[in-house]
Amino acid sequence: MTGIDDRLERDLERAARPAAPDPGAKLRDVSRRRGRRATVRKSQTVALVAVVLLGTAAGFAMLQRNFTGAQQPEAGGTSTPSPSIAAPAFAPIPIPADPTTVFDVDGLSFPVCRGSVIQGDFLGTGPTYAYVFTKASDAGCDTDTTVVAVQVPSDAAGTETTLAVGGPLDCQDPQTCFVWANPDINGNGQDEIAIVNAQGASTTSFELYEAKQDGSSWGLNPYIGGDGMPLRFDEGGSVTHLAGTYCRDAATGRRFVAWDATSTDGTSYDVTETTYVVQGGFIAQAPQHTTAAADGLPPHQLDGCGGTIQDPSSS
Amino acid sequence: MSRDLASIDESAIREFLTGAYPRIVAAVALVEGSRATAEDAVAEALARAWERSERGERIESLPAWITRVALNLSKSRLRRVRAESRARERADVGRLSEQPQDERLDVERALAQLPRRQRQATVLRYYLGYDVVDIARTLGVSEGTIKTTLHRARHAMATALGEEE
Repeated sequence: MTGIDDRLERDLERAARPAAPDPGAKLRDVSRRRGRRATVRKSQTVALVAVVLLGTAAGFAMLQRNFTGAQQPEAGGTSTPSPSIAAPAFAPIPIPADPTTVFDVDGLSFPVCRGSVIQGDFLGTGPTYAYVFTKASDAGCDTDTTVVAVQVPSDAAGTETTLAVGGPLDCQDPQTCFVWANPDINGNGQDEIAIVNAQGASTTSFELYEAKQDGSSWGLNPYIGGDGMPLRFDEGGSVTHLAGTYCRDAATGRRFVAWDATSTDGTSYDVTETTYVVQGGFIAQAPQHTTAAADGLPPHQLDGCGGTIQDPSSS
Repeated sequence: MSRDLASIDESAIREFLTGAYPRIVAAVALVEGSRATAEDAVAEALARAWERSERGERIESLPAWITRVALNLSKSRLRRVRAESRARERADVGRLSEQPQDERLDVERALAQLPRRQRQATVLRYYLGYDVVDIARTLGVSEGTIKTTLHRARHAMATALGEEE
């Protein structure tokens, strides 16, 4: 033990100033939080069932309409082919419906579970699929380690793929960690992978990963902040604290903006917007402070960034 | 203190609150520079541990689990804003929560200049007394990464505090 070690131990002990809590009050606080989490979980389950039922009904209605239209064309009319959505020439990795099912993926040296997938142009070369997987153990789906992966075409026909893998991800809980969106936050035509890594009662936190080619291989890296840690952004909140992200196109290129807003009355908000320029890294500009009415808050949910957003039930 | 999460109930939470709680809150507060954020993150982590135990999930050590989850939770900018706002609303907690800048110790100022990962490793090592294996497990990175992180943090702290290494 040297001088600096001794001093760090001694000074941190003094600086910490641990204070004994009121156990009764703290227990009530924890109990209240636990109750709130249980309520939210139940609400999410109900919402999930509703979304699945509505989605099934909508899909059925759409199929019925399409087939009916094909069988009964209008006399003398011309049909306009609907634009086809480009899909990769290769198949996505099949993901079991039960998130706790453990399965193997070609290209990963460990079994996985809790898979989620989204399609996007993550390599800048055409559509492919990005995934988040939780690493499983011999005991099943019980680890806290999660990774991100992207299928990379590996043959001339583009029908065979290898996996580019990144991580481990900074997930608060593997159950709430999933691929969320495929925005193009710098407008360069290559999508980023937005990964939700924490979900509260009304707030979603996410990080952004990008695929980078190094020689013949691809790596998946998070966007890093000034402190060397992955940047994390929030979406959502309550009436007194809100946050969001969006893109805006300037003359010199696309800008990615993260904002948060606080209010004491729910009608007038103090808004702080931080604009990021992606140039060989993630560069934050000075935050801008403004005030806004509730209906004049900045866009959110990656508005203007392109791509699609999905919820856990569809991933 | 090590407790099977499957057995966590009100008495276990109370035992934690009168035992490991103050030091873990103090550790998170040292990392974040905010006691309000630390108290909020640790309380939320406890609620999650309790909820998990009700679902039959298990964990080896409650203090280690709470430390890891609270450090992750406290990273959220939105959580920080909310926690500090609530603390300000409660005048008594507000006074206790944040130390005026001029009363902060040199070590706090030096710690605040470190990158987050180095702050976490330094506090876990020198305040909570974790070894490299436990720090690596808590922060979810390799032991080699922790050794490097601690080496850099120690060098930076020594320079900032004018100490010989």
